Amino acid sequence: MLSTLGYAAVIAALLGAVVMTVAGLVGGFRNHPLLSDVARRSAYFSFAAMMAAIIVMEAALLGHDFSVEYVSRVGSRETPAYYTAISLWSSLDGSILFWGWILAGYAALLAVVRRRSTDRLTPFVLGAMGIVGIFFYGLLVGPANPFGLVVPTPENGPGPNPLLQNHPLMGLHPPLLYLGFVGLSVPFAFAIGALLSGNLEAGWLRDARRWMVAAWAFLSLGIVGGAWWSYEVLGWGGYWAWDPVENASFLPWLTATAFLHSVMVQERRGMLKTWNLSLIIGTFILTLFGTFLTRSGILDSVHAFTEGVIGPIFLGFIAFITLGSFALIAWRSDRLHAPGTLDGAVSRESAFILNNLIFVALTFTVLLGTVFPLVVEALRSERISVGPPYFDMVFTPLALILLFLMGVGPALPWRRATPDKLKRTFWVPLALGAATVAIIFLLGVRRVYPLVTFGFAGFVFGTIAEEFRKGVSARRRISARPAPLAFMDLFTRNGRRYGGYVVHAGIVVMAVGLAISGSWKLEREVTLQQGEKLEIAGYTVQFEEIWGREEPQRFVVGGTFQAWKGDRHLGEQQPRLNYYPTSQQPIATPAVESSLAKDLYLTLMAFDGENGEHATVRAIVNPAVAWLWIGGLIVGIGALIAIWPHRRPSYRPELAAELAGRGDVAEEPAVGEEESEPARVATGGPVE
Amino acid sequence: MSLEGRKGRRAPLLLGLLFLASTPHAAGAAAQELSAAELDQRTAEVAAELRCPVCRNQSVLESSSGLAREMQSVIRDRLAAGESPEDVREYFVGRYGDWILLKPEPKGINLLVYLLPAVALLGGAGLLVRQIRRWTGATTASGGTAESVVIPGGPAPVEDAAGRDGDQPAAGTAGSLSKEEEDWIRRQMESVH
Repeated sequence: MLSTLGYAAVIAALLGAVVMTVAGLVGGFRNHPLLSDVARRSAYFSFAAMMAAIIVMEAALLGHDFSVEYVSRVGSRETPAYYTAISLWSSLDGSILFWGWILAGYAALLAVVRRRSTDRLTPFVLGAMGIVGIFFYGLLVGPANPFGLVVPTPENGPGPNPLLQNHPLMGLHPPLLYLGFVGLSVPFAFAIGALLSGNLEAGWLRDARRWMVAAWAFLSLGIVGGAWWSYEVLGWGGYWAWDPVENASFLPWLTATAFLHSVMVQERRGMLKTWNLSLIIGTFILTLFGTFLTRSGILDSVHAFTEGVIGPIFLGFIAFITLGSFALIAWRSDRLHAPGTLDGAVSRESAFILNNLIFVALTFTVLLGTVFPLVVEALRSERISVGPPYFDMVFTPLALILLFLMGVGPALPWRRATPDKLKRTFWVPLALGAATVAIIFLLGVRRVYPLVTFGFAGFVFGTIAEEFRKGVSARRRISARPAPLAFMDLFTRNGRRYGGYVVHAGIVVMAVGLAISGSWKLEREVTLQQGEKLEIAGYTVQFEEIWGREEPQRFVVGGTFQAWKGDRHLGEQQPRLNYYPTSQQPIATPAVESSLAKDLYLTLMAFDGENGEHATVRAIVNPAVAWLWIGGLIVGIGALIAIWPHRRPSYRPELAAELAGRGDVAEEPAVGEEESEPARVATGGPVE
Repeated sequence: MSLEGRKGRRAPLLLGLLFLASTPHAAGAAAQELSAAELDQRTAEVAAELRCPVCRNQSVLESSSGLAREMQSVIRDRLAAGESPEDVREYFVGRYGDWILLKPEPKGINLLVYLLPAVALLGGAGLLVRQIRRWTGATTASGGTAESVVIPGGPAPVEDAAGRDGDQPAAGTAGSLSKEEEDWIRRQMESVH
């Protein structure tokens, strides 16, 4: 019953997407308002259908209807309701259903937001969203149908993958990642829409950027959330393993971040049009590629994926999108020519361009490292590994260059920096960076990478603080508001810029957390008798007892330990091992005692199964890990500030001119949000 | 980030159990004397670069699996017996193949994974420097060239990364490029605006 209902809903969504695509594209080319309206309504229709499909699937999961194929594979009567509900994304078909639902949601939101627009862009954008929709809903109707009927109906199922039902965070980070991943298809649709409509000058980029920031924020939170999940669940004391699955989420993040910077060069100077389109399209392709990589089975073996249908279909769609997009760019190349000029090699433009070079090099390197073992295996049938030691080696120096640029770019003026201006701008940040290095050096740190990270972090914080100081003083001169209010004004009046600085601050916090936790992690593995203690980095851990507990879906073995930091009692710690019937290896649940400075991280490694007299425990003292999560949160807040819709205050050119004359805020109007539209269009025109 | 267990890793496990039975346990007769802390340190360094054969993408150091912990003690014993970290790695490569190394040996086809990122970065930087010169040249005669403008007093000039990494290779490659290749690069750069 539910099986039929769900399948019907998915077919309806597919039909909606087909109508949306045809009506959108034809409506766009013919400039036909009625067809555009049909495209918009089809977006609502597809969303309603996917909503129904999700409700049916959740009803089947929670109602243990094992006649539905997906439920028969991931459901079980013993799994707690929470994990049953979120097992929607614990396997391929369900995650594509979830993906499709979010895609339909974005398309419907797009249709709502642009319901009053009469331009030719909107139908094209909807048409492009429709193409992506056809692919994903088509997968659901065909090879990845989660609603297949199982006859005869099984009594029970195996339950979801044990790793995915072991921690509540599993309910948080996949949805964030999916919101990010799928959200990246919206800027892509704008890019395709703009190419199709032929109007590549203004408007579309601004909208594409806003959607990109939103998707980027979700993706960032999803990646940090994934790292947190990994830390809290996997029990190895780390948070990032350069696993292909992690890399798959990181790759589009890198190119999206590159775009968010280079887009400003286009908005300001009308340069890099083709480049920015390529970044948007490349980002979307990387989301498809990441899904292909993690979902086609290719990671298990190069040859495995051809046995399934999903892999080749994904590759085909990736090829279609790549060729189609770049054919469109070639078709429109006459409108994309805007010979750029740089007034000075040292300018904000150059900093952004350099930033893009590093981001793209990073993307290439991570992609290469991820697929290299597959390529070697395909070519020579040898198996090699490219793992964390490789990635750390290549990633760290490039990431440090980016960190440095983060302190340079925002403070450089557009167009050209004079030596005098540079001196005034950078002496405070540079002094701060140098002082940080000196202090850390005097504290006894001799390792190069942490020292460099700290120095750059001080430098970047100096730059950000200077930017805020200048902004506040400019505000106060205009409005005579007290400093705290003037500070808040920066966010409401130019959220994009100052929100961006908050994001930077969050990244710096994370960089410091990474440098510290990566360099000063301490670890001991000891077998303790009852009552015996172990000491590590000022912590004392005492083993008390081993206990076992039968739960409906698993058997849990736990160790009770007491922990002290110095003389302060931290309370009982209970690292556990969880035995699931479907998993040969037990799944660990570490006990993590977090503080801002250090985490005490205990994993139960082995225990005396007969009378519980001894236990082997791995104790890890992980410094500054909490700052990763805090930094991630700051990044999210910054992104929210950057896209929060505000009433745009009227732009007062005379005031800006006066301020610019004083040289304090340079050409950057701190008064209104960026510059006025006509000014941008004017600079966007061809120069030669 | 789903972590569905990977199948098809059973063969290495069996191999591993076989060789564990045959490892030398003559650790006591160490030729070189290493302090316990040094030994810990070296063991961890080697273990971090070896893949745990039964895990999903974890090193021997990180893994809590029984085999990984056995491997750690083998590493430790062999180091204590005076073998170099290189010897220990070779030993495991002999048992499991190159797959066991998390950082592939820079030889043969593996060189690509080390060289291509540098080629991409330097090549990109080279193109960029030329492009920036072209852009700056288009407007003013006074706008400095990429490598001549530095931030006074800065520890690293802003163009340093592009200049240092890009300039020489760009000049170097320019000489070795054929006319055809140069034209192609020029067309590519033009399409980049």
